[in-house]
Amino acid sequence: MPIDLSEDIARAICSDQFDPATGEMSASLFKGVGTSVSRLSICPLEDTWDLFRQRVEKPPERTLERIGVINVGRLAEIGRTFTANPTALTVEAVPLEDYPSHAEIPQKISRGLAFEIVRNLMVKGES
Amino acid sequence: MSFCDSVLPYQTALWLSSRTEDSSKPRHRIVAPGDSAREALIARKLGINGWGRWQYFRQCFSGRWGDEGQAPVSPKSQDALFKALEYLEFPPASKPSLFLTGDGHFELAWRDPEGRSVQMEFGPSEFEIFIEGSGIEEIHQNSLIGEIIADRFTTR
Repeated sequence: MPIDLSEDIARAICSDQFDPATGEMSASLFKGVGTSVSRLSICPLEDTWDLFRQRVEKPPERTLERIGVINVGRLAEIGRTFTANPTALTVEAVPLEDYPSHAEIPQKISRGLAFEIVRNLMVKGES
Repeated sequence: MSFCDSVLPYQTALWLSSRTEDSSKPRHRIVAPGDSAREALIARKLGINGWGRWQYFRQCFSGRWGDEGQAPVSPKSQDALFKALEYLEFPPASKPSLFLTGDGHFELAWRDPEGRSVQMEFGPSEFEIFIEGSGIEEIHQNSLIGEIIADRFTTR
């Protein structure tokens, strides 16, 4: 079921996709099909740090560095106005038993479109 | 017997290592033929930060990793990365970043002199190139790396 355009979603930004020396993030954060995100309306940002740590962090090889936040309506607008390949982006709720805020972007996202999404992320560091 | 013939330092190191390292995850680096030349090339082209991230990926991501069992570093992707580095010349002020994708592919990203993004992802047989400034987003065979870099970049 598509989630409302007013919602915000969060994406884990880990050490394999983030270079702390340059501040650059990889387009692979959103490139491809079925990108996993978390809904901030179900799990607020302050709790999402612990959630992502438990699910995606596996030191020493992979650490959670930042969290990228974007509004679902803004995401849809970026996809719609991407001139090289306009894409109707949605976010579908895919709750899991131990991860009720889980959602996915089901559409295939190209590298160029992923770059546009990454560029529009609100990047959060842990306070 | 000279000091250098003694096995004691090695034994001591092994003893210490056995008490500080998880033996199921060796932290030593296995040096492959040609490694020194590759280290020199990556340090020269990507700087100490790029060299460090390369070491980080090849040492820590050599098995399945991540929450979805992402693919380990692809040796063929690494070969393609080094082939590209032989040809790429980065703008003087740019600081290239090295990433690893969930497919185990190396990915390079840097900025052109106008601050626009340039990205390359290296798969085992194909590479993807994205140049924000010219809107280029293409996939080519790895055998064409030199040719495509020469054709797409004016920085060489």
